[in-house]
Amino acid sequence: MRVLLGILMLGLTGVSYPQTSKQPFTITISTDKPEVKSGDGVYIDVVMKNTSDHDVDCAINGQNALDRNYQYEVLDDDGKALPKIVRSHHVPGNLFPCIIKPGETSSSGGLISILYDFTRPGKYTIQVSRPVWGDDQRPEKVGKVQIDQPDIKSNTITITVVGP
Amino acid sequence: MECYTISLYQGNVPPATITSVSPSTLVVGHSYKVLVTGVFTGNTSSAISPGCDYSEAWVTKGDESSDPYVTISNYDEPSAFVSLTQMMFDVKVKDGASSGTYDFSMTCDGNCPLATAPIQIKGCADETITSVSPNIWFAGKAYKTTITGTNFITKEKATKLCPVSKVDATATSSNVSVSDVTVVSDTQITATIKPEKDSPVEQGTVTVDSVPSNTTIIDNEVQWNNQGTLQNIAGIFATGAPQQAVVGQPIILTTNPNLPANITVTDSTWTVGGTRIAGYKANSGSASVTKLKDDDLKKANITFYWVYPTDSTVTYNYCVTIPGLSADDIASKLNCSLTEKATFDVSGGGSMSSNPYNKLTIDQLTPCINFKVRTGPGPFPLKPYVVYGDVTGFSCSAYSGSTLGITFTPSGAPSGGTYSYVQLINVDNIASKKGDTTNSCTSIQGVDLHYPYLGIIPGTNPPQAEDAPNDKLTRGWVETRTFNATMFLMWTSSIADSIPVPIGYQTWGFTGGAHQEFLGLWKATTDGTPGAIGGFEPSENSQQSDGYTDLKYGYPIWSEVSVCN
Repeated sequence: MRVLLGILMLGLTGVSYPQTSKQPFTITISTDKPEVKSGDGVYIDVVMKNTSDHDVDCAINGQNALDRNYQYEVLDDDGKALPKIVRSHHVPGNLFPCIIKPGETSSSGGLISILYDFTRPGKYTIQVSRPVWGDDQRPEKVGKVQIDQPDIKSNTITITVVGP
Repeated sequence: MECYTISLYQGNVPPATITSVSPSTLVVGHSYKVLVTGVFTGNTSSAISPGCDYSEAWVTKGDESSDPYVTISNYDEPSAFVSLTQMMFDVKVKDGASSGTYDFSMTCDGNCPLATAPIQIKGCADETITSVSPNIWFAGKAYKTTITGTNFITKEKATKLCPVSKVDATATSSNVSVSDVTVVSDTQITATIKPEKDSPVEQGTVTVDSVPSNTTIIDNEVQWNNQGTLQNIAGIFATGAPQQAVVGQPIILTTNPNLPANITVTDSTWTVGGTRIAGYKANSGSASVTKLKDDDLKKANITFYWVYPTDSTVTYNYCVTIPGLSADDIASKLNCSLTEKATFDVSGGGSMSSNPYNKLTIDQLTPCINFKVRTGPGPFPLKPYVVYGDVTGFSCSAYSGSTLGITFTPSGAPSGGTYSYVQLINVDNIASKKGDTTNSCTSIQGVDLHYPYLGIIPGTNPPQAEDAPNDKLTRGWVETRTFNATMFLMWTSSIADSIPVPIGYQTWGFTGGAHQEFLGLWKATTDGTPGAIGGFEPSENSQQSDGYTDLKYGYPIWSEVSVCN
């Protein structure tokens, strides 16, 4: 049973970055408003820090007010993953190149409530992850090696949604 | 000469004595009726000196036979007689009489004095001060001051020896002028008293002739915190040297009136020139400017920020409670300090230029995030986008070699700070049409994706911004987009706790789309570019709108991020 659970978790979260290697960046998320009224926008700030000794790519894929180069996981009170909101229309997008020097950071994030429905009052936990692309996220190597890239996960934060 | 003890009156009577002389203190320049009480005779004769051929009364000092300045005019007249124990003499103390103890003597037939009593002759009466009102003066202001006391010498009572009472005001480190002195009565004097403008806080003294009374001089003490250094605005005003400041720097002004313990500030009034605000708060969800309110300008200490570079003036004064001021005095602000003024030379500014692209292109982008778990090797499938610019590569990488749609380059701001950008989406309409079906989306106005703007071109210093809006294409659908945005250039001083200030903005946009032609090849269409690119608009004109969205003091304002729901 434990083996099966482990396999299931692997399937959900992807491959974690090997513990033996130093991960090239870290991700820290936060929010200015941990408590919002139902219907209000939920914003998160995502800070990516280059912990390597080389440049790290942090390209931003902004689509409808959220950087889609991160993966967002939102769980409700019961620990159930929220489904993504599906829209029938195309949404505006921006692609921004981004490179972080060693030791420096880059901010991104956006309106996560554009992707998940936070209207039901309750507590939601949010975690963000980003694959390590190519050769340790080096800008010139991103996209070159694409099979089973490891993920780097952020801390988790809790958003409380109260009735309007 | 041998003197006999005889009566002023006839007969053998007990020795004459003087028990009192009233008044016993006489002032130079004045005439008195002096009542002398004593035992002059045991006889009841009513005529003066019936037992004497003549009688005399006089005043002497020391060994003088009589003092020429003190005369008794009626000593030999019946009018002097009051009773057997009292006589009333007309005494005049002429100018020139010296102060001191004199003898009042009476005699009979030129013999030695029968009786003698001391009296005091004074140059002038002793003045006293019981109050000075007001007795608190602001440096640099003139106060009509009322001095209350006794024995003040009016113009009418003044003599050569005892001239009109004089008023003086002094302080250790201050020059204090006195003018318009009027001795209203022997108990009241009015005068205009003015400590000079740069007087320090100290005790002053009012004197009427030689009689002192304490007062208090107070002055402005205003300081401003320039990166931890407190400086006195009054001193700045005195030297006329402007203070150096930059836009967005917190200007912290602190008052320190250094008042005596019994005096407290009741009102403070600041004026601050130029465009100044109390704060600017911004995040991706909203942005707002906090106005510097009138109430803020009445606080003892204030903090604000100048938004635009200009020479700006700050003034300050404060009021206290000063007992004794009239309503008119208070209306004239005599209970308030002089208005101190300091000039600030506020630097900042800058400009921005843009380099727009001239068309939309069909670009093949490789999305990364959705292909994280692949089942085998091989090239990623490319996805067509219609892009303002010419962008290729991976959506998850810094796409070197691409031609960005529009780039913005800053210049001209002071070196001690950083540039940043904010982009507001004014109009963004996307429509996808296939046959009779149209899926459209109109974005709400708001900030573009994130505050501050994320589209900074890597490796640029100062940082340049870019934007290349894209729209994913779907086979068989015709795509159109109308886009208009305003890019703001901001600058933040490196001084601690500084806020970003707007330098200026440019509005830009495009209209176009894409459709598939023969063999399914995508073709982009463009309209309105670069014609829609606006010029650089300096924010220092404090615009209320960029033509699409609200501004405040030139700041970009939004209440939500721009999204297409």
